Amino acid sequence: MKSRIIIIGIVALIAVTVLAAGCGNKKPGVTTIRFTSWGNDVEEQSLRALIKEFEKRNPHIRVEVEITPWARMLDKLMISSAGGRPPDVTRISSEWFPPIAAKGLLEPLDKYIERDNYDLDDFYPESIEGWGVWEGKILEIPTDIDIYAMYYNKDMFDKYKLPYPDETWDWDKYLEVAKKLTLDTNGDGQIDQWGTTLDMWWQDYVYANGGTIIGPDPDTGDVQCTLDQPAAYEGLQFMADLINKYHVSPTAEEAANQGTSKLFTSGRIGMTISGSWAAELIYKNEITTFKYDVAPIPKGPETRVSIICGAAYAVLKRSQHKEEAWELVKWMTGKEYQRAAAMRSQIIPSRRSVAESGAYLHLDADPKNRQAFLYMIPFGKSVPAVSCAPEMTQIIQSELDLVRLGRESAREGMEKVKPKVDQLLRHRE
Amino acid sequence: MSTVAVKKKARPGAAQKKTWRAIAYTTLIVGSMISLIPFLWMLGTSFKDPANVFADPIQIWPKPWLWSNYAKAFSKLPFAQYTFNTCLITAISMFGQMLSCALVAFGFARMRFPGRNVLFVTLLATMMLPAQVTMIPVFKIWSTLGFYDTFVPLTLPSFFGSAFFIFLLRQYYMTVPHEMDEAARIDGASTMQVFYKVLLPQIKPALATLAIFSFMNNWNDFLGPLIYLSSPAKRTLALGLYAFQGQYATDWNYLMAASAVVMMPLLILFFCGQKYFIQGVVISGVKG
Amino acid sequence: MAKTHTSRLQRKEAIEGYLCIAPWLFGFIFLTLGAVLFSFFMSLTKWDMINPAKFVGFANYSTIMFDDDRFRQSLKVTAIYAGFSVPLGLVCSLALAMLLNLNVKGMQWFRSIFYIPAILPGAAVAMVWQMVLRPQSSGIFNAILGKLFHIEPIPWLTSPDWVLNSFIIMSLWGVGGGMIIYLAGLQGVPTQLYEAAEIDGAGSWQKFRNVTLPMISPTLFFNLIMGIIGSFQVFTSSFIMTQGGPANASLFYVLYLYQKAFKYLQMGYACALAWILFAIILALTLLVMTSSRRWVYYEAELKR
Repeated sequence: MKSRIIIIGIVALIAVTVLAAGCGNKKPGVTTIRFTSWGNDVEEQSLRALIKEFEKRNPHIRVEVEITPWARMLDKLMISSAGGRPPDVTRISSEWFPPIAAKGLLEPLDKYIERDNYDLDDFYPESIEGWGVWEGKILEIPTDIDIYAMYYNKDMFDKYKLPYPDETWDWDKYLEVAKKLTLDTNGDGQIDQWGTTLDMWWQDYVYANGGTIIGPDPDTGDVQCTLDQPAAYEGLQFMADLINKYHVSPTAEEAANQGTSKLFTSGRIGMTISGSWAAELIYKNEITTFKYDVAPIPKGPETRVSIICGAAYAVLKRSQHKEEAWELVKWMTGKEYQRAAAMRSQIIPSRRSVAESGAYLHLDADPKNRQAFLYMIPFGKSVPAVSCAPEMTQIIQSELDLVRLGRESAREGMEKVKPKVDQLLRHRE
Repeated sequence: MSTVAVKKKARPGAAQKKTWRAIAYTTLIVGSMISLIPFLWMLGTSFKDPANVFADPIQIWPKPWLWSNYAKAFSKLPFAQYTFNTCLITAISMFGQMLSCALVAFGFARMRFPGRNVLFVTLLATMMLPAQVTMIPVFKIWSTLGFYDTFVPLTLPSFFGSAFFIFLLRQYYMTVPHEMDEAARIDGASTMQVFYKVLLPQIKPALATLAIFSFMNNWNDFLGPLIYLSSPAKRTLALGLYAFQGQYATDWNYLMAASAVVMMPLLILFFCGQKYFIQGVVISGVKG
Repeated sequence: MAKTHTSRLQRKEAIEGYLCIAPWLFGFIFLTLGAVLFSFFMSLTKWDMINPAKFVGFANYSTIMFDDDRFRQSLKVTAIYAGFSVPLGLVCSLALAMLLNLNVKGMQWFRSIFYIPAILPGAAVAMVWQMVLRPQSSGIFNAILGKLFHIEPIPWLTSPDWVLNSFIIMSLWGVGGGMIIYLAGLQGVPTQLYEAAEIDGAGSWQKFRNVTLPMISPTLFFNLIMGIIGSFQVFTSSFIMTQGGPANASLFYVLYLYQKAFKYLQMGYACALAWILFAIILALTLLVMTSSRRWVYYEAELKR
C-alpha cells in the first residue's frame, strides 16, 4: 500500500511539473527570441538593463537572456547548433568567429544592412575586417574592440623612483624596469614581488618580433605553420625568458596559486597587460591600496603590437525569427547601446563616433590615461582566421606550456609544433 | 558466527594477534583521516571569508565563521532551480527504471518465448559496449526528434531499462520459488497479476537497491546534461556547479559551499539506505 | 485437440513474454543496435552534424593511427593511469576490506568513511580536489606535507610530471566501492577453511595466499574488469580540473573524444575514436577473461 502511494506521488509530481512547464506565459503577438552572451555580474547587469530597454521599445519582442561562462561559449554554440536548437542571437568572440563562420552557422546580414541603410561606415574598419566579414559576406556586426595596453602600479613605481612607462618604451626598457621591480620583500629567500606577468597573448611576442604564425608555403601556395622560423620562436623565447631566465614574472605554479590578476590587484606585480574592460570589471572593486594607470604596450624588436580582438553580435542561420533577431542586433550595436555599455563596463565601442566621444574617454574613473587603448588600435593585429583556429591554438598552447616551464627551448617546441599544425591545416574543412 | 570462531582460537598466538590488531587500528584511523581531509577542507573553506581562502600561512579553522556563504552561493546562481531540475530528472528516471527493469527482468526470468536465451545473452553483451560508441548517434537521434535542450534524452531512455539492472533483478527473480506463481496461475491470475501481485512484492529489496543506484547515477550524471542541456534555466546541479566555476572562478568559498550542498542528498541517502547500498554492491559484485 | 491447446497457450505466453521485454527490445534496437551501426557508418565519414556528411572510407582510422599526435598522447595518458590506478586500487581496497574484516570496533564508521567518496557526484568531487591540490602553500595537501615531513610544495596540477599522479591519488579516494565488494567476499569465506589451514600449521601469509586469495578470486576478477573499463572512461575529473593540460599531460582518451566531437564538431572522427576505444576495452577484457581460467576459482569447482 505504502509503495503504491509513493508511486502515485511520483507520477503526480511528474504530471504537475510537465504541465507547469507546458503552459509558459505566451502572450499572443509576442515573439520570444533567445540570446546568448557571457559576462560577469557587472556585465550581466548592464546587459539585462539594456535589453529591458529594448523590450520596452519593441513590445512585440521578448528576449530570453542566457548567460554562459566565457570558457563554455564556443562549445555551447557548437553543440546547440549540432543539436538543432542554437540561440537566435549570440555574442561571439573574434577567436571563435572563423570556425563558426566556416561551418555556415551564421546568417549573412548584407541584405538587411542594405535594406535598412545601416551605417557601417561609423565602425572601426579593423573590427569589420577582423571579425565581421567571412568570404565576402558580412556575418556579424562588431560591438566592441578588445585591445590591450599595459597597466602599472603607480605606487610601486614611485616607491622605487622609476619613471612611468610611456610610448617610448621598448622590450629592453621594459625588461630593465621589470628587473628592478622584482624583489624578495620579506627576505625569506623567495621572490614575492614581480616586475611583470605573461598576461600578454603569446601571439603578441611572435608578431612584435616580426614573426608570423601561419603563412603561405612557397612551394604549394597552401598555408603552413611558420612558428619554426627564427623571428617567431625568438619572440616566444623572450616570453619564456621573462620567467625562467630573468625571473621577472611569476612561474606557472606561482601564477596558478592566486591567479595573475589577483597578484596584480593585491599589489605584488608592477606591470601587467590587459584589456580596457579589466579596469571596470575587476580592478575597480579589487584595487583599494594603490593607484594605477595604463600605458601603451612597449615596442618589440620589430614593431609595437597588440592582439586586436573583440566581440560581435550575429544572427544564427537556424533562427526562426530572423527579423526580430536582426532588430536586436541593430539595437545592441547602435550608438545608444554602445554609449551605455561603454559607460558601464569600459569596453571600447566599435563605433568610432562613440569611442572618441566623451562617453568612453572622459569617464571619471581610473585609469586616467585610457587614451592609451585608442593609441594601440592602429597597432592591432588579428589572430589567423582559419577554420581550425581553436584547435590550432590548443596544440600550440600545450607545447608552450613546456616552453614556459623551461623544459625545452622555444625553438625545440616550435619545431615539434610545426608538423602537428601543418597536419591540422591539411585536414581542415 | 565468525566472531565466536575467532574468539575460540585466540589462544595460540594471543600476543601476535594483539600486535596485528594494533596495526589494523592504526592503519584504519590514519587511512580514514586522510580520507576525511577533502571533506573537512571543503567544509572549512565553505565557511571562510574570501580573504582567508588562500591565506598564508594556511587557515585551518574559519575565522570569522560565515554561514552566509551558503546563502550567497545560492543567490549567485539559481541553485534552487537546478535542484528542482535535478530532482525532476532523477525522479522520472528512477520511476522509469524501476518499472521497465522489473517488467523486462520478469519476462526474462519467468516467460518462455523463442529466442529468449539469445536475447538475454545480447543484453549481457550490451554491458560491454562503452557508452561513447553510441553517444554521438544517440545525440543525433534525440536532436533530430527535436529533444535537444529538453529533459527527454536524460529521462526517456530509462523507460527502456538498463542491462545491468535487468540482470540484477533477474537474478533476484530466480531465487523466488516457481511454486508461488504456479499457485497463483491455478487460481486464475493473469500474467500481469502474477507479475504485479505475486513476484513484485518478493523482489522489493532488490528494487530498493535499484532505486538507490538509479538515484545515484542520475544525480551524479555530468556528461549527459553537459551535452544535452543548453539553457541556463535547465541546468542540473552538477552542471550548475560547473557553470559556477566558470562564472566565479575565484570565489572558492562559495564554490565549496555549493559543492557541499550538491553532495548532501547522497550523504543523507547513504545514511538512510546504507543497508540497500551495501547489499546492492554485494549483489552486483559477487554474483556478477 | 490438446496439442493445439498447448500451442495456443505457448503462443500466448510467447506474446506476453515479448511484451514484457518490449521496452528493452525497443531501446536496444534503436538506441543501441541502430546507434552502433550508425556510429560505424559515420566513422567512415567527415561529418559535423550540421552540414551533409562526406564519405571518406577508412581515412579517419588511418589518420588516427598514423598521423594524430594527441590520440597517441591520450592513449598513453589513459594507459599509464589505468596501469597504476587499477592495481593500486585493487590492493588498497582489498587491504582495507581485510582490516575491516578483523571485526574491529567501529567497523561501520570506518566502512562509511571509506565508502562515501565512491558515491559522490564526480563534478563536486572534482571541485573539492582542485581545492585540496592547490599549488604552493594554499593547498591543504602541500600544507600538511610541508608541516609534517618538510616536503617542498608539490605542483600537483600545474606540472606535466605531477598531474597524472594527482589523478591516480584521486582515484584511490574512491576505493571504497571495491572495498565493500571484497568485504562481502571475505565474509563469505567459510571459517572452517581457515581452521583447517591452521591445523595444517599455516602462517598468516600462507592462509592469505592459499585460502583467502583463491576464495575471493571471483570478486577480484570482477573488480579488475570494472576497474579497467572505468579507468578507460575517465572524463569528468579531467574535464573540470585540467581540460587535459598542462601540455596534454592529463588528456584522457574520452576527454579527447569529447573535444573532437563537441568542441570541434568532428563527429565522424570522434565515432572512429569511439570504435577504437571499444576495441581496446574489448581486447583487454577478453585478455583478463582468458587468463581468469588460471587464477579464478569458482566455489562450484571447489566443492567437487
